[in-house]
Amino acid sequence: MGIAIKTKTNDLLVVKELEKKFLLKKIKMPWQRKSYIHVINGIDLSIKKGESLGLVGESGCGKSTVAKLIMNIHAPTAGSIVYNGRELNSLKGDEEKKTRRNIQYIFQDPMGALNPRIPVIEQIYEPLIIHYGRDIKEYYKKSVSVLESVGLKESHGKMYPHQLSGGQRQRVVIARALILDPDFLICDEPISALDVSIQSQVVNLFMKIRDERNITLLFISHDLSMVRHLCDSTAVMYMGNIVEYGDNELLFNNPLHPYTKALINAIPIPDPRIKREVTILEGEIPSLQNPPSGCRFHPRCPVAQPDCSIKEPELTTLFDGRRAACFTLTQGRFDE
Amino acid sequence: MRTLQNDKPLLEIKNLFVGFNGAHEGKPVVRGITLDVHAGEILGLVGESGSGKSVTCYSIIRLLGDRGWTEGEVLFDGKDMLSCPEQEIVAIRGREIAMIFQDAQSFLNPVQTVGSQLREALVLEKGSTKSSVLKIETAAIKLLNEVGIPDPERKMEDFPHQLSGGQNQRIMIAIMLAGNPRLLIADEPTTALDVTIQAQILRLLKKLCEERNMAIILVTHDLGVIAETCDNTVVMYGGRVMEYGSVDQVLVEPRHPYTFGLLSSKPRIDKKVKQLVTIDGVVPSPEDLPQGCPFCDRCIKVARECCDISPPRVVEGARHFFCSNPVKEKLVWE
Amino acid sequence: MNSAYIIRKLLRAMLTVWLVTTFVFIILRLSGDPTVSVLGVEASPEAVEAFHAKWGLDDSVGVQYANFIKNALHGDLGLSILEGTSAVTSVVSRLFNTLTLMGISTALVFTIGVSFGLVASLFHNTSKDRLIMIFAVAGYSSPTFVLAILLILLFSIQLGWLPSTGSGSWAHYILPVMTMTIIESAVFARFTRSAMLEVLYQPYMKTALAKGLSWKQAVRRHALPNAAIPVVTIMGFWVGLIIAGAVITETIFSWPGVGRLLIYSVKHRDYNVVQVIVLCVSCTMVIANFTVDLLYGWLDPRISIEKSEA
Repeated sequence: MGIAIKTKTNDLLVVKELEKKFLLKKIKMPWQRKSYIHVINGIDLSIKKGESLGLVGESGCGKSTVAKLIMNIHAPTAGSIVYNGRELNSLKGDEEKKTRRNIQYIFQDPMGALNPRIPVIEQIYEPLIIHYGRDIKEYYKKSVSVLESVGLKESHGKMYPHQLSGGQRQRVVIARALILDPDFLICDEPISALDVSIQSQVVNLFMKIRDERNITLLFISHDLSMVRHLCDSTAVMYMGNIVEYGDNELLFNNPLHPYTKALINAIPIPDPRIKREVTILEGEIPSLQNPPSGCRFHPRCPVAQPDCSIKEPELTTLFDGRRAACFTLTQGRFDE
Repeated sequence: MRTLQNDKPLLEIKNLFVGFNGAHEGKPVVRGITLDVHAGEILGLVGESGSGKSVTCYSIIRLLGDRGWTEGEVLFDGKDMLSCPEQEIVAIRGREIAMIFQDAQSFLNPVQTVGSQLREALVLEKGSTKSSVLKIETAAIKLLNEVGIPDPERKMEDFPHQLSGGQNQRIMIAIMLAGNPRLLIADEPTTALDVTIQAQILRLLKKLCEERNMAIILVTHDLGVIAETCDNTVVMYGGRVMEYGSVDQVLVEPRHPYTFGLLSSKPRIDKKVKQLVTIDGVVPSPEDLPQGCPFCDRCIKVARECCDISPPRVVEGARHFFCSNPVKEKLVWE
Repeated sequence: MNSAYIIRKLLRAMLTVWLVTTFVFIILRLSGDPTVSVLGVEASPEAVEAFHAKWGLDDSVGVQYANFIKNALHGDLGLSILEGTSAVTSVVSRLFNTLTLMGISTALVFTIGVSFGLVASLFHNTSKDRLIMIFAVAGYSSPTFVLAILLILLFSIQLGWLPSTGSGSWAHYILPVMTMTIIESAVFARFTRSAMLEVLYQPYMKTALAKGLSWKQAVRRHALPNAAIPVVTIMGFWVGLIIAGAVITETIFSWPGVGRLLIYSVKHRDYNVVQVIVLCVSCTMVIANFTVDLLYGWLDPRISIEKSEA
């Protein structure tokens, strides 16, 4: 499977030149200029129906902001988000409601996503009341069947969030997202708050519901091994840009962008017999308030050229169909 | 690589029990831990939340204070840390045994510059006479260079919130190195950091261990970190040791079903698997642990007696485990 | 902390003072005039007319307000209608009495409140802590006027040790000071205790111990300075409390201070005197809060630059 950009017909979500800047809330005199930080720097993404796309990167790279822009939690500064052929931000009224219920969002902290004073089953069918009006009996039945499909029992539904474990709470949040039969699920670090032994349960659940319901998935995580396992393709972000974007087989077996290489290389492997030639990335991620010129990765890049501090590389399609933003790759100077 | 049985250990924990005062006083969170740490060794303590790994660390230098109780022995150089008088433990903290923590920023005083917090540790070591002021300044800069802080003179004037998570952790390490300790307890030092920064900090810890012949107890929940950093590892669950031994054996051919489950339930960056093995059930809370093996209700190899009687200690090469029905299968990757 | 921040704060402070004075100006005039108080109920219509003309009471509130602002900008805050002297003078002549009362109380509140709060926090969950907190809650929940009357009943009427009204000797200070101190100390003790408890369980206290400080050293170097920050921040609020306390206390003990003058002047609609006092109080409040803001910024370097929606 290649990159979906060319075949526009079965793309479920297409993000184009998406940009987001935040105003810095520094106290200034009225005549002083406002300063902004660019969190998302004009990115393109596309997800085919039924595909799972991973969005990875370190803290502050903007991956969660992408999800919030799609969910309209923040308004984009520029760019378009097209869902099923329609521009999301231009939808109004009933039409918006209809489209929005096809997109559901799951985030990291399940405790924060649930109301501590309401039994979880009522929270699971609440979206149905909002979207379709009152029919509690019918909804209760449906909630129980959704609860069962995420591996919980009817009895769990009567409990309050604090009576459940972290993994069970995340299952409840997933059940609530599924009750509206969405086509598209955005998961923002859905397993990082969970214990290791529970993570695999939830990931398997994601794979099960995705296959059973043919759900399209945008999976945002800093855990690259999980993304490799769960997704079909992956976009790697660094300081608001996508630096490499392609099919998982290509990207994880043979990463080409120096940042992707370093990122994958930094993930420890639980096998003491594997002695890798570890190239540890030096330095830290620069401040977004004062980003480096040219390629934002050049101060930490092991293969930086003089040009890299002047010009910004474009995300370009490479020979094998993946896309990467690095001069060493596009100018035929890479040594793979 | 060290084995478990050579020279006299620096730290011996013998049958340690730790509990919290209050409602669940009678339900200890650490239930009979025994382990050794030798000079120059990096021992990895791995487990999930509630496994008792952090509590074990805190009780080594009695940082639980009056919130908890301890039973058993923690011998450092032969001296029992649990029963010695308070002044003696104060003298040992920082100079013999130091500790770093998960979220370095909140473990540094937010309203003091990092420099003054580092100098404070050095004053304890070198005294605060007039002649020592210059010595302390040079020592501070030397330490910051050693932990890889660029431009140390200027960084000392910064407050913790002005530095990144990785830099704060380096500062924390520098502070704890001030007393030149022989044992460093590192409680999830990289959990809050990004992977590229985690790699830098782990490399630093390994370097310090070699250069100073310092022992390190590294607490983590990431078996990858254990494999790449540690010599030996203790796998903990429900306040008990499940499997303990050389990393080469424990992580390559795990015998305890819990170790096996942990290893197979996490996908690997270098391998592709079809389906993850899961450990069913939930992580138990210390209040409702069974009499026998704490893992019994989630174990795939559970036998009838597992929940009632403590499993036997089985020694196998450079490791031992507590299980009457150990795993014989190979890991999925093999 | 930058100059833009300070200038913004100052502008806002001036706006506050202006709003308060304007508000008081209008409310006072809407609520009646001083004619009856000065001339009595049976004054002749001519006398009333002359009185109104003299003080400009027949003008509309707008005109009166314009005159007031014009004069105030020239530094003239008018005469006291009741006393005939300058309003500023009648306030200043009583200021000393009020300031000594407030000064002594503040010093005592600080020492007693903070030390009891510290003891309670350092002996958290012991009998010392509980005892202090019982007294603190009792003090905290008794209103000033009730406490004052109880003290008068006990020390002046039952025991006859202390004078209940007036001023002049040191003995006159004791009951008013006690009234103002007991309640506020309780507030401070509670606040200090919770500020300390918050700090004592902060992670950096663990670090302080781990690097080899003794418990005492760790408390002195890391807990006390950090607990001082929230205590300082309530100082702005505290100035308001103690002014309110002074007004009530002075009235009950017939203490010849500004607080009692305020009540008297409001009752008799002595417009200018009330206006001067309100101006003083609002300036004090604004200055106190401004100082606290600066102090807070200096004590706590965590002034973050926040992001917001563009």
